[in-house]
Amino acid sequence: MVCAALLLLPFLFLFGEWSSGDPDGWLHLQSTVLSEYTLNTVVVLLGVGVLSLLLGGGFAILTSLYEFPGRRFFSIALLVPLALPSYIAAYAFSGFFAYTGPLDLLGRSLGRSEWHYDLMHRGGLIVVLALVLYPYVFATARVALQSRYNSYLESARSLGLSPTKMLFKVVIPLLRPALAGGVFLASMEVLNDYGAMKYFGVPTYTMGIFRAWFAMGDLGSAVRLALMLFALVAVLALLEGWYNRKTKVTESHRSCELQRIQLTGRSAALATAASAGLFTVAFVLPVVYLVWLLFGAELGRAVDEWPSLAWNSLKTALIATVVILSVVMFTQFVRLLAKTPLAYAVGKSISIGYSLPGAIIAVGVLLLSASLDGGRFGLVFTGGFTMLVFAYTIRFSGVAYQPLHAESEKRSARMFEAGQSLRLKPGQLLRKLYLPLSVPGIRLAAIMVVIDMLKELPLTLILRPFNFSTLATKAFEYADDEMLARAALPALSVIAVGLIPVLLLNRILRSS
Amino acid sequence: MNPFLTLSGISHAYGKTKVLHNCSFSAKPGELVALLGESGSGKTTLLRLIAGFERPTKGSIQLNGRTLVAPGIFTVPEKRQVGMVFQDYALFPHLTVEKNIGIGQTSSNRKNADDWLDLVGLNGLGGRLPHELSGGQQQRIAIARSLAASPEILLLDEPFSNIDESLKFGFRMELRSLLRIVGMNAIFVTHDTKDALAVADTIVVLKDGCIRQTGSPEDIYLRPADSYVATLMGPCSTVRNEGRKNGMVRAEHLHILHPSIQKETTLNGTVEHVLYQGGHFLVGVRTANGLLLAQSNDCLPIDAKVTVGYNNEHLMWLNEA
Repeated sequence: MVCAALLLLPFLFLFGEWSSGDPDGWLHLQSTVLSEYTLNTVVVLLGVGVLSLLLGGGFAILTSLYEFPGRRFFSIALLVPLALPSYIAAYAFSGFFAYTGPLDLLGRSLGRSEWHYDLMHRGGLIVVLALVLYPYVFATARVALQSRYNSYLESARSLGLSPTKMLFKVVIPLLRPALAGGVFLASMEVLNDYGAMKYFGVPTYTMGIFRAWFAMGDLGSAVRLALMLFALVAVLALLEGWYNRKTKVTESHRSCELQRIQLTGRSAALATAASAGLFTVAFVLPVVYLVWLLFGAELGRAVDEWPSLAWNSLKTALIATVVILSVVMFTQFVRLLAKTPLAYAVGKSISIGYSLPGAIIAVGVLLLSASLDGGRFGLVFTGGFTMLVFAYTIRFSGVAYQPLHAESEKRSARMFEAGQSLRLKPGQLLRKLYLPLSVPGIRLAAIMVVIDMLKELPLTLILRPFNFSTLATKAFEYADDEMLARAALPALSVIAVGLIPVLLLNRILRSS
Repeated sequence: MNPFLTLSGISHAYGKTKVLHNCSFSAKPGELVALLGESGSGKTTLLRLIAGFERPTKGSIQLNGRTLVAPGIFTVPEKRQVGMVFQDYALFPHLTVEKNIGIGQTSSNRKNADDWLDLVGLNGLGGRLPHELSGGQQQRIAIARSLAASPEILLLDEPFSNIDESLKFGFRMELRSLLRIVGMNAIFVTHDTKDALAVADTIVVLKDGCIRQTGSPEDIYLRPADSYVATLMGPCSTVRNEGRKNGMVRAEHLHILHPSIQKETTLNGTVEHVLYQGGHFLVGVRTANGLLLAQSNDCLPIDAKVTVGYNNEHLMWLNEA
């Protein structure tokens, strides 16, 4: 109870501060850039949504229902771009297309100076974000197609529907909730993004929050922007929930693996080429470019600073992971024990933070620490490590909640009741049942949380202690200062770490 | 004899959905009670209320002179001395059979795990993990585990549902004799009429959260309280109707008549359905009183003109239209 209250406290401050602060700054903002922020946010959201829907949905259907050369490989490979944090993808792509990038260099050496494309605009940002975020749609749609709607598809085929008819009359209608869920996740990532938008110079709400805070020191405006972003998240969440209820499909029983439709000749070649093309553009190209940069110059200096950056990242992540796992497991244990609606609500509420952009949480935590420091203790919390860990806990408890909650729902509820009827006391339940039974969940949760924190950028940027850099912040700073080559090593490290959950995800997809 | 377990006026709801209405019954010491009903009748909820996993919105529960639930009183599950055997057994997957059995034991009631394994006929399996056992073996371990914690009453949730049909007969006898040997009070939940009739001393029939009838198996079968209970226990049909009273006859008492056999009451009709039941046929005969279900040793052709009859002693009078 106290845990949840503590984690929700920053949001109270956020709402409390709506009307305070410097009105001039806000009025100025309103009359100048607010409409631009709004327009950009909406356009980028829509653009990325549509594009990732087409890419993710299309390739999910292709790799689930049809058989073509390389299908097994691509059903995993097309998930992999998820490992690229959007800010790293942004500067890898823009560097690739820049005047000094490989495309232009090649063009000029061949005397083709028209091989230049300017990527640095809103459209370019949309494409880059969609290229790393479409896997959300791809993953949710594949899960649905693989297991949940299997028998519907089989009955459609036994009814003799033609492949086209089956696609439009059965597959796509059935997939709608899964697609909506995937697009929602991608949209949340768009709203959380700061690095890519900053790099492309497309100002949105998230960027506005940073500008107001860093450039103008105007906390009041930052708070208002954060609240507007909050409202947008709430609207999207409500939309998704409403759409999901409206299109709710009764899940069919899992049957054996679906018989895929064999593609032959030209269509098979086309399917393979399209999958290979997407994989190359979304993952191979940026990673190869970064590696090329890495060996191009300054490898020595990059290697020198790597250990301390990696240690900072890992230390922060590990400390925060311990805190997060304790909080989540404690609330879950209490929920299993008490089984009251309140305990359930508390257990669930700690996962809210994950659906909120890091910038909102950062502003809330700042307000809280500022008001704590306003007393007689001086600057204890603001800019301190504690507050960074605290903010991570708010944002990433939801990541740990999923695996630990699934664990407790599936078996532990029954196991707990068995333990209670065998007269075990709460302490014994914790020691003999909850902890041993949660081990797989704890392991998965710890991995996911650590990795998410290593990739995290906006929260860390705002709340990190002075002169404290992690792999993610350094990669961003170098790129932002146009020192792409030095950004390559920390960026590649973050990508390597990001690959782990993608491969885990694939294992989970296959076993579910 | 004082009742061992008493439930009085129990009502329960999940949120706004009412699942039990004013349910009362009691069990005598040593009695084996079956809670019988279709899915959604509230029978499992009733069991969970006795175990203490749910808190009733109204009513009280007494066990062996102790009040477990009453207004202002609620004993937590671990203090109730009520053993529960779950439908999926809920054996702890990370513990061996021996440790599973030992987990609920205190120093005062410690008895060798081997003795319990002996009792359920599974000696030598103490070192195995639950997933290395067959479903039937897991269930026996789950029962042994509950008994080892020396409860005052044993609750079993659908104990027969995961047992193969061909093994059920033997399993019913085993469960009954096992509970006799340890002299344990037990309540089990089932949706299968045959389980309830074969195993229980007392059957409590639930329908839509209300208790329709409580009685011995013979009572429930031959003197059902209403037409729901009558049809639940086996095929039967209404042969007379006098105002708000229905006269029903079980299929095995309604016979296709040879000219040589005399019955007190006869009706003429046409054969509409013939279903082989293994050993005999269930015949649907269309008469002036509607479709009647009769039992026959011979297969009859569809559309055959027949006479059915019964003796009046087999007429069951039910208090409803």
